[in-house]
Amino acid sequence: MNGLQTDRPVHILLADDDEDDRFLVLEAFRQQYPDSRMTLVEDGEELLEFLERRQAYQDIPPDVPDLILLDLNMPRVDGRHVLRQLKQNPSWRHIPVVVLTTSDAQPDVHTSYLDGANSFITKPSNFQGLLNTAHILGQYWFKVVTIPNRSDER
Amino acid sequence: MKFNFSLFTSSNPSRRIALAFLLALLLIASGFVLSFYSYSRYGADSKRVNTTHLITNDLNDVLSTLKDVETGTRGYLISGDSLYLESYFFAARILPVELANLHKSVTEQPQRARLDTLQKQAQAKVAIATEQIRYRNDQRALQSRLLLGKLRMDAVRRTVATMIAEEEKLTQARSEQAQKSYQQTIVIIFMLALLTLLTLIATYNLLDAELGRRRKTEEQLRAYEEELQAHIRQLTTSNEELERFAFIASHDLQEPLRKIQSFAGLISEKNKFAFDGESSQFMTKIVKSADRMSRMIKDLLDFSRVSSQDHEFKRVKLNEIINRVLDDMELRVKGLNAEVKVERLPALPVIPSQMEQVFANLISNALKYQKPGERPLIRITAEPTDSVEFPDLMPQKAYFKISVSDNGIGFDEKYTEQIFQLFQRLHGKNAYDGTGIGLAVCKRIVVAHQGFITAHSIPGEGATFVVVLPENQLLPNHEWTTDRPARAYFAG
Repeated sequence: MNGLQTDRPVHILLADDDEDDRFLVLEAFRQQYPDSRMTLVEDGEELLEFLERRQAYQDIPPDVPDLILLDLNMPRVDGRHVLRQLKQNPSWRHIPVVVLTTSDAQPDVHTSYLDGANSFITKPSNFQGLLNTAHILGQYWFKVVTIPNRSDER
Repeated sequence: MKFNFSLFTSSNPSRRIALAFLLALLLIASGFVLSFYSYSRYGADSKRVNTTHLITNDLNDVLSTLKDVETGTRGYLISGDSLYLESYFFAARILPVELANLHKSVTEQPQRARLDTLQKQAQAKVAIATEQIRYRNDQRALQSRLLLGKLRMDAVRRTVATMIAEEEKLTQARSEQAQKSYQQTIVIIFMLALLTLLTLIATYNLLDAELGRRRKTEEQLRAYEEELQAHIRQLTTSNEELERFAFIASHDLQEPLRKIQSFAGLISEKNKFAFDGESSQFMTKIVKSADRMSRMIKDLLDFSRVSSQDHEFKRVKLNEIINRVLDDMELRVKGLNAEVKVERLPALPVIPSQMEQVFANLISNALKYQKPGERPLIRITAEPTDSVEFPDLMPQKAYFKISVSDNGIGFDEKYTEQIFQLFQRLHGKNAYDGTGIGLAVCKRIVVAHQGFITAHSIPGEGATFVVVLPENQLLPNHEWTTDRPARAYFAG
């Protein structure tokens, strides 16, 4: 499909506690953008560990993702909490966060945007929809929109 | 003590109590009247006795005056001294005054006749005394006149004695009579007092019984109220639990379905070229079934949300709501070349988002169940109504009836109840798409608005859905959030 004509591979961080969902999203992005890079974490705590280079991520070189896909309902630290942390931290505030959740409840939508989410997407119910979503997300965030360059940041 | 008065067997207790009080008052009043009457009778009797004394005195005075006349005359006759005549002259002067007094006092017969006799006798006595004085020197004439004077004096004495005796007899009879009636009055007053007392006791009993009855009724009412409140609490709790259950179930059921759909999609995607015709048909069936179930669950979620979310009633023009709905459906309406006529509708207290859903469902249905080859025509009208037209409504409350009519395929009216029930459909899902939840949601919302929904139809000629909504909402907000108000007339 369409490649993303950026200088280097796009890095997407996906936080979702559901293994199948992680697999499906990864699969969808892999089909749409084979040259993208995706990091998968299982909950909010792990997401923060990744960003702060703690625990299992101690020895990995610093790498701020270009886009974060965030589930809301997760164990330990949930997506709502992580969203607030991300948007209150000056070093991470610039990273676009797309909430990708099963919820379509108005209170969730409302508070997500209030807490600084850049988009709110209810998970499509079938794979075709997911492929479509992955395509649009890639097109939008890496072609239409200009986002801060990772190398300029740190 | 219990008293039974036939007068008080009236069925209305307040009436009975009022009657009893009235009777007591009447008895007390007649006691007063009798006492007053008796008192004035006693006064009259006393006066009568006084008069008798007066008459007796006056009679004695007349007698003694005449005696003075005789004594004075006799003294003059014996001595020839005119000094003795002084008492004669005085007596002759005072006698008419005394007799006049008697005339005033004596009013009844036969005393009055006797008084007249006495007067004549007294005058005759004075006249003979005068003659005695005149014939003092004529022994013969004097002798006969002395005898006559004695006889006349005796007559006076007799008359006075008779009159005094009569007066005494009268006085005695009168005072006996007075005594008797006085005693009778006392007895009657005593009886009246006793009757009054009994009436008051009876009244007290009635009042006490009535109070007791009311207290009992009140206690019973309070017990009912508590029972009702307990039921309401129980209902509210179980409702909330059900809603939570429906919400969680719908949510959690969505997850595996999404997986089925996604992975089925993924399999189809990956094996696009490997599947034979039948296999890919089966995969499509899996995806479609999962899709349909997903939609049903979503609808079920909507259905449970009708009452679980926080809602506020606002008075909104229904035209505004319907215009918003029609804006959303613009493409579909234009695509079907449908004509939608909306009359002037009232402004009613509604939960706007919910009412939008009601009319969206009704208009969507009207567009869906159209006769092929005919231009869809939808009319939305409103008119006032009340419990006379719809007995399920609360009496003496103003309602509006909003009708959504179409010229579509209609339905058999024997299914009217059924179409408002959850997942009830009259058509195969292949003929008309849908989960059978739209009208159930409508009903739930309308019922939460203290309203009523029904439908009429002639198969093949169209259907009319009637939404009845109250002009005013009465209950405080929190009571509306339970799905079924605790009022029987809205149930069902």
